[in-house]
Amino acid sequence: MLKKLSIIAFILYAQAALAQTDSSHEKKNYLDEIVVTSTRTETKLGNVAVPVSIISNKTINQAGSLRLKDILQEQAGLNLSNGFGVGVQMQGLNPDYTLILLNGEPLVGRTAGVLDLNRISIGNIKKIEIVKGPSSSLYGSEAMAGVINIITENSYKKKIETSIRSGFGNAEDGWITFIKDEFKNYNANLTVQTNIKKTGIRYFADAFYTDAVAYRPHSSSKVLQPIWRLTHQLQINHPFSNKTIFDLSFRSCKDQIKQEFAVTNLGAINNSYGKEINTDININPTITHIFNRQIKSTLRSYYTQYDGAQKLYFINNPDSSYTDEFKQHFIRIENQTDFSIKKMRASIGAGYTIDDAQSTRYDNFENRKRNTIISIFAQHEWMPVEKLTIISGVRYDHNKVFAGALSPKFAIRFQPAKRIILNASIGKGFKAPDFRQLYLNFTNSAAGGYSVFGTIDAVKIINQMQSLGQLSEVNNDFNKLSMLNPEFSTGINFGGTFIIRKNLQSNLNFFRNDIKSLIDVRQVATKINGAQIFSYINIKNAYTQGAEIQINWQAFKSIQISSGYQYLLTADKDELAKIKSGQIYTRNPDGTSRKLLLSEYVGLPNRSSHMANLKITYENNHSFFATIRLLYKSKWYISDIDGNGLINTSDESAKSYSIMNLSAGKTINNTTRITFGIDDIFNYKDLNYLPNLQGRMIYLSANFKINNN
Amino acid sequence: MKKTIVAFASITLITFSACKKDSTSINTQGCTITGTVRTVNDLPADTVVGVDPQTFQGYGADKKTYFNLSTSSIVTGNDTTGLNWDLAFIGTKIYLNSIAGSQSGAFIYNGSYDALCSVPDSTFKTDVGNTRAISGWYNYDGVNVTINPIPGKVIVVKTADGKYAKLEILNYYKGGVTPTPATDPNYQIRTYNSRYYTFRFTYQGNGTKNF
Repeated sequence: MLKKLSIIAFILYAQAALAQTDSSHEKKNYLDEIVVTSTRTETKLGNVAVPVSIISNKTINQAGSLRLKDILQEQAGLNLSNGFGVGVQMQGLNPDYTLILLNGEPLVGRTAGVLDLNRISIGNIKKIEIVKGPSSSLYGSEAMAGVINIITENSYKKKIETSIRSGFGNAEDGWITFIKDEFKNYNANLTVQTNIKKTGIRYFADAFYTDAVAYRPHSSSKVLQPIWRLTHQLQINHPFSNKTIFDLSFRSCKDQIKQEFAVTNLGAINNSYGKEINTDININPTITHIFNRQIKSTLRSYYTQYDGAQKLYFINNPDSSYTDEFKQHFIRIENQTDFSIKKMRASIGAGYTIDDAQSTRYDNFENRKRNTIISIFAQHEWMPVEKLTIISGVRYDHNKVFAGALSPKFAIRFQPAKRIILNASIGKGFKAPDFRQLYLNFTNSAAGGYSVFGTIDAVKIINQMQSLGQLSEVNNDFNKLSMLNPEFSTGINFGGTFIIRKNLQSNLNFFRNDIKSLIDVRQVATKINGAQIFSYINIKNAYTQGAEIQINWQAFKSIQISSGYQYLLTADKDELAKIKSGQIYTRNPDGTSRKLLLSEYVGLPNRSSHMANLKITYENNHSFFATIRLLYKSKWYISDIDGNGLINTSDESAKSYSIMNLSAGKTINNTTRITFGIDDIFNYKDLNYLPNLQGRMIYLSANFKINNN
Repeated sequence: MKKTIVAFASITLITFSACKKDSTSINTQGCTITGTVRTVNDLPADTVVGVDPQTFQGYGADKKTYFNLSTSSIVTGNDTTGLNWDLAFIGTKIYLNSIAGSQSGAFIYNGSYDALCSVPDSTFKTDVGNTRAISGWYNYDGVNVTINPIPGKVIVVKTADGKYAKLEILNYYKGGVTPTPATDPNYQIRTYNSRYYTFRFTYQGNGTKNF
């Protein structure tokens, strides 16, 4: 019975099942770990031709992480950004350009391009695969900087597991007294796994509460925003036969954030209060059929919806309220067929996607805006000799609303010696314009009175305002408004894995991304009252380039040291050209102007040139572990203050910083695990530029497991 | 009315200072300076009396500050109705003297202030309705809610009596330093410190186009 079940699991989630077999052996080489995200088929990490990293369940547990952001920030080359939730920058590209997948299907509901990583609970995660470099040849839109695929647990062995965790932080400086001023967060989750005859059932629930998380950047007072978040996930696995397997995954996540704002004006305080509720639902039925040893076909269907609603009331004026709601539906049906013939592997696939969104900020929630996408892709993997793998792939996405996109990719892996694996790849990535860039019709009466119009109606609305005499000025950029096109990038990655000694391995990767026709928010007109009108134009050209190095060293049997570092250089190509032609000026300390030197140019804002991490893990045979994790980010630039419209070294910047996190845990009788940790032990805070950094936090968690074989 | 003018004049007296370099010399860019080079600090331009919490914008009492370039001084009272002033400041808006008989005109030259040795070839524009000749001299930072004068913008002015001057706006905040959330976390404090111009200008009184 068990054997049969594991065969089923193997077929259905071959990658995960294999990884599980791995863990039952003594420590295996990490190059034998299986990844799925890089080729959409199960491949050994040592055989992939693009930069991939895996975060294992063990790493997540040992770091005592609560949310996805906690664990991603400890990865080299990933930079977490604040604003509209926590987003992730990869290879220097904004959060908009990294595709976030949950078991291979995209998560939706981005605010201003950012998918808030706080939404994802990690109590249920088996592993996270991170693929860097453009992957649109497999995944289509958004996979421009790379892909983060969160793979949840999928074992159906009988088991009940529960975890509870409580953390304490101090809003003031100093140590936690457990008496006053501290904020607390709690997390509890439950997993039940069982199988009835051939059918596997798995249920996971996670509850999270925090009573204080953020400091508002433009206010001297801290504002506590209590959050309640509940996640459920149900997975069912049923084999119709040895060759046909059905799988269903259902997930829901609901956030409730209590909001209270106070704005002081001329001594009078305007209070508003309300609630933000975000709901996320994902349903993913899949059928896999194995025709024979050479051919396997998977039919995946996916429905997801995201609903984010905020309602605020004003104490001074209780009759008026402010509602802001965004709702997105996403439906996809996709087939992928894999062929494996001798030295070749190939995959072909086709999909149909319906993506629609509705928002108070488009047309007062009246109509659903819709895009449909037909996509086809093919990938060919050829291993003429064992030392060499050549992968070529291409995908075409046909959009109903705007121009289609063709995304080719070519990758090569070469192993000149047993201890050296070299990789090189070149690929195109794209990101389709999103709904807000097309349909937004928003005037922010709460902040500045400015308006932003999506390109579909911008010209019409602005012409109308002009004829009504509501505009004081129409800018040159107004004439550039037209239907938006996708943003395209070309990415090159090359590097390799070097096994220096059996216990010392290193990965190196150089990257360059050239991004064309980036969509930028531009002021296109000014209202009579001085408020600005913005819209979107495909106008910017930029590049990001750099190097990343990762070293893993098993220094002693019980001590492992790993470290990562990324160097990053970015530029807006048009700004660069203007500086070179002497059109850009800056200011001397006395305020007088002088030409900006090329060496003073910083590039794109909100990026650190240097990012590094160091992790030391101690693990002994008695199932005790301890970790020390150190993170470093160099200074990053925020805003232009010398007025030249670009970022140079005299502009506003945030200070470089380091954070140290500690954790230790012990497993008792294979059933109980106790973990204790201190995050941000030196209590580093930056209220202006790192509002999500809470300062020192102490936590204790306990995990109980009952296995019933 | 008279009382308010007196009060206004007394405010301007304390907030306003000018330094003067009048001798003929050669600057770093090789221009022979024949005009009068002056710096004006903290010229109030309808300073903020309140902040609209809806729009984040500061508002003043709607009072222009009238400025005479030849004397480098604020003009008040009955003088504001004649040709005795060249520029009027109110928030980010800078007006030319458009009173009948005025020869005022202006345009913005992109380049180095010091390297601009004489009036370049261009058309002097006048204020027409809501469109001012002097516009596009600053960038608005919507995140920090601040106004930043764009470096490398020289305002070339023809005065009410037909003389020439070049002018560079250095800063829009009290004390000549633009505040940031790091220096002033409260945007309202930043806004209250706005509408104070620091600028330098070279005035050529002899009627030639050379600075």
